Amino acid sequence: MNHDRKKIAPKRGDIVLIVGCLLATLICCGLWLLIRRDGAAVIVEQAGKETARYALDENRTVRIEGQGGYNLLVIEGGEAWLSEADCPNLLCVKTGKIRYGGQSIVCLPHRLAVRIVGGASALDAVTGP
Amino acid sequence: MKTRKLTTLGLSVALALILSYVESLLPPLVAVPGVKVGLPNVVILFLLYRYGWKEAGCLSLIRLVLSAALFTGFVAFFYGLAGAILSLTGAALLKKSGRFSPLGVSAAGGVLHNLGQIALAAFVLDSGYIFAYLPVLLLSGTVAGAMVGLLAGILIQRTDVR
Repeated sequence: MNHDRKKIAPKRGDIVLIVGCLLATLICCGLWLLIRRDGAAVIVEQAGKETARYALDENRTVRIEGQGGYNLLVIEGGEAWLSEADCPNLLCVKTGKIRYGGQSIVCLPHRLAVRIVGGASALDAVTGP
Repeated sequence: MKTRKLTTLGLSVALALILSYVESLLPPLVAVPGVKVGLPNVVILFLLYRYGWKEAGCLSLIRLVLSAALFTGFVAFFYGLAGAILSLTGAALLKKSGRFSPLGVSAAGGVLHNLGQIALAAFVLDSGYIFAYLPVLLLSGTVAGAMVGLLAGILIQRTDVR
């Protein structure tokens, strides 16, 4: 029994591994802060298919009707967010405002994704507008 | 002995599937797809330690197929598969090295699982997604994996019947 307990107890390698993962998180965080760029357009995807695309620099409010309910998309001042919805958990509303290429807001109950594209990264800057 | 193994494996499938279901009932903490505890992995990790990577891999695959058919759907299956292949391979290798306990093995497994999923997401969606959500998924993978590892460690220790 004692022998087995020793075998299962956390080892030094565990700490190295976990600290390494947390360090990698910090590095990726820093990298994102460095390379993020304001997006150009907002894409609305419903059930995996793009259903609308709006410029991020034009203010507007759109009511998105979809499977099971609606979400209210607001685009203002280069930012996009869902201000209202009738989904059960309202996670999409709580996600808050997005403005950088690559960011997205997801409403799983309505199978809705709002994504920002354009100027996402060095990679997109080459291929994107 | 063989009957015991057969029973253990059968029970493991049932347990992993129930844990998938329980987890699908929990409200998500953040609206980033892929952030979850991964409760079924407690059972998978248990099998990895009790028997080996083949048994753990079989359980993982069976659970994925069943939970995709019952709860999550077709798309989730492929995301789950991408994560499972990477995390199980990594976990099995780390365990073999003998330098890590279930805690570390599982933390690395959690991170690798999320890396596999985000790699597929980048392939399906666009590359910007990777950079925006890598920090979140790395952190959640580490924390969730460590929690699963602690749980599985206790389980492995307390069920040491041979």
